[in-house]
Amino acid sequence: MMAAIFGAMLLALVLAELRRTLLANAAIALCIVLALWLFQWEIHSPETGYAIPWLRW
Amino acid sequence: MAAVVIAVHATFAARLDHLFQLGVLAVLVGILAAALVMQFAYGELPCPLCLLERVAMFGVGFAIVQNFRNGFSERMTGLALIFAVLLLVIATRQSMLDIAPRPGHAYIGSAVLGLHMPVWAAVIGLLLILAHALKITLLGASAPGATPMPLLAAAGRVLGLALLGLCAVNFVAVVLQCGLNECHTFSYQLLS
Repeated sequence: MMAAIFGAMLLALVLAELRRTLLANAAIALCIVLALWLFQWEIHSPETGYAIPWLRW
Repeated sequence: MAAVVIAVHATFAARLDHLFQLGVLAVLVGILAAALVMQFAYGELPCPLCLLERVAMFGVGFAIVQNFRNGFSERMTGLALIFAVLLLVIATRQSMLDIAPRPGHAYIGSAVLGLHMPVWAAVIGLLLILAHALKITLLGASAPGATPMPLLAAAGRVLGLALLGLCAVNFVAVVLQCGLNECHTFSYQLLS
């Protein structure tokens, strides 16, 4: 998944350099969606969900 | 006379805007290059959230590259702010992950000026948002389609290519480190 995110970002930058604005924006939109999905997946725990119980006193 | 003054002011504001965006791009290229030096020279493999923070910084850079390559637009300022907020959210969450000492959790990487990488990433995200807010407050919206001075345009082109090169190196490093699986900080999966 991380490779796909960096791949989408690389594609977006290449397309921006080639002045393919619309395609570059589509690639960056894909990159944001994938990054948001991976972020929520990384911080989610089956036991505690999105909570951070180690900060509860 | 008034029309001339307004035109001169608009041109001056546009020049400052271009200089501001160039400065932000230069700082981002420097930070992302430093991250690669830490990774390859000091063997500090990035964690998944660290990599996502790099993606957010590349996103801010992408918005500026789009401005220099395809004409200045306030939409790209919006995109830069989206990525800056994403950087702040990810970095804050990562800082909270490691802020309380417990087994198996400690800040990754070396401290710089006493602050670890995720804390620096949060500071960078906050500064990016503040800088853009200050820019919009003082200079107003980016003049649509304004052409940067040749020197600034050339510098923007060089920095854009540098950002592209850094992203390509990061892409290869991520493929080597993570393959198509979950990322770990023990080793490069495809090299072990």
